[in-house]
Amino acid sequence: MKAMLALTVLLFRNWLRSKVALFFGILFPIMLFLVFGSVFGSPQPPSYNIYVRNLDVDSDGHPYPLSEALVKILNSTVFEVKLLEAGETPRQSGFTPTRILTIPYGFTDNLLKNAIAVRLNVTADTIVRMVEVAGEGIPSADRERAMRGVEELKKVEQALNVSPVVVMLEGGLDDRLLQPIEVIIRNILAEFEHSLLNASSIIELDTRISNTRQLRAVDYYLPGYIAAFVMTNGLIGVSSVVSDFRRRGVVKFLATTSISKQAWILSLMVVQTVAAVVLTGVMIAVGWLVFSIRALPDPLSFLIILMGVAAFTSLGILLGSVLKEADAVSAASNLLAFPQMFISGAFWPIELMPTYMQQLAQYTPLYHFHNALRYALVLSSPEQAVASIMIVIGITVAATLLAILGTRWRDF
Amino acid sequence: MGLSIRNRSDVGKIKRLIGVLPQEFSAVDNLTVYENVLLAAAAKGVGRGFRDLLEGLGLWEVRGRLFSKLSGGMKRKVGLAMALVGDPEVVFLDEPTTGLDPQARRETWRYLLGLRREGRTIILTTHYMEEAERLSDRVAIMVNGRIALIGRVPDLVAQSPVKARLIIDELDETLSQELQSSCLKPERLPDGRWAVAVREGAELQGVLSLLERHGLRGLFEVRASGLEDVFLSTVGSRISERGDLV
Repeated sequence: MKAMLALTVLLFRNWLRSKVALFFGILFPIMLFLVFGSVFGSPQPPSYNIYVRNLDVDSDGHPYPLSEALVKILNSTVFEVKLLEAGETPRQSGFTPTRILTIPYGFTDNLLKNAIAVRLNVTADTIVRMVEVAGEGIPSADRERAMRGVEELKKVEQALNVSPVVVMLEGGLDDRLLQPIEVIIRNILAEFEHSLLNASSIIELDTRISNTRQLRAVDYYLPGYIAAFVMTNGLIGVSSVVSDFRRRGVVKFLATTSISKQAWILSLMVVQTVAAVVLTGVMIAVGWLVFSIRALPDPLSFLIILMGVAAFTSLGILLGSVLKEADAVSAASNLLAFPQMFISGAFWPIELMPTYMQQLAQYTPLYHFHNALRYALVLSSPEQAVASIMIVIGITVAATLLAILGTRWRDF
Repeated sequence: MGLSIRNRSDVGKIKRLIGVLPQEFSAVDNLTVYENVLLAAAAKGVGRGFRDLLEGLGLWEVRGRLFSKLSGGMKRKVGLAMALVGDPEVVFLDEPTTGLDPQARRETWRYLLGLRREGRTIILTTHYMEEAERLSDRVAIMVNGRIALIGRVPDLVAQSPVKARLIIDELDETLSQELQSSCLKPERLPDGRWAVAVREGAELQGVLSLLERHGLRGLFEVRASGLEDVFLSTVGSRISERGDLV
């Protein structure tokens, strides 16, 4: 036990002094967490770029009041408006989609005429309905006067000579946000039109913010990144350490001493456990400071992390022990680790992936590891991930046995 | 000691008795000299009392230096210290001085001779015949993984059919033919000179006369037979710097 403890401390020092291990084991996951968390998991509302070409201007180029008001309203919502001159085309900048909203010439004038026409129509319609409902209750002379008034109103409406106001939205075929943006603009225009008619809303939308925490992308990333980097530390990091120690004769040397193979494997696991605890602690602290994540690991979360560490460290030991060439160890560990990182849904929900990939994900150990960890650490409902937890236990037992069997300890 | 490696229950006991320096051993780069020796001490289950060992090998002054920052000779000494820590009764050293410069090699020899004087059993593998001659009480020559010859160095040399070796700087075609007609086969040495092995006094006299006739007085040297001759006559070939038979 004392020997194993000393071996663990020295292996940990070796890990701490390895710049590559520290970078890929701790710094790199935090960097990714910060970048992806900020890009996709920020609590800030989204902001969409839109170009507005306002042709509704006077001879001096000043916008007429209603088109100017519309631009102001757009700017105060989810849009970041950039104005375009007539005939000007926006400059393409990389992959940023270009969306242009064109307000036609005569927008203000036409809108006012339309508003008057609508009111005239509503007034005429109201009179007709009133006369119909009242029927014989109104003297016939009064009825005739009322209907003549309606005809006069219609004449005035025709004299206004109104035409529809067409605001044009242009966007690219590959702009996946164009459809929701179109819906937002339609709603803004409807509200604008409503205000112009001085009409009160009949149906109101009552938005309420509940106290229940909803999961954000950044909450998804936390267990995903912890699991993914526990895996890479075990599979890639440990396999390269074991391979390097074998190449140097250190494993052969240790095998000639009284320390046991199990103690050697356990020492490597303990070092990785400490690394995983450090990684988890730092990730949670960064998540708390930057993204207000309130995840606190309970004993079960810790146990799941421990099992993940044991499983992937064992697989790393197995690769480092069985494969002779350092290049082969590196290739095999990367081949096992990297596809899992992207297929298993550690970095994004598997629901975003095609069906066949979702099915494939469920065959990867990493999927069950991060799934179990997510339910325990973030959702506090591990009972929903019993199957994943059982699979992680199974993989841990199998991998540990394989590591013990695959490590040659008497080849001197 | 009555222990056998074939007996599983003896393996643990054997491991506690031995110290091993594997061939081409290189300790952990990111640990210091002290930490590497501590690693070996921990694995062997012995304490930290290895200052004398480090001082004896000239490593105490550099104990805080990372292994990766050491010279090749120092690195080999760290391996030696790791094998010797815990005062094992039997020490196996697989080519402990390969790659060392002559000074470092001689320092290591001095340390090993000191251990021999203390009565420690050292089993040392080497392809340097000079090393084997200087350090060993008994030598075993292995051919294809089997012991072909074993004994004390003076006894083995005395049994060798080769009594002396003439090292000639230059060898022309005529001299070569004359030597071969006397059943003597000149061998090209790695340094470009030629060696002629002679088996008895009369044969030596004959070759010396021949060399004088060819005007080579002063251009050759006579070496007494040694372990290398024993090795060559046993193995039938020469060994390279890398330890390969050529």
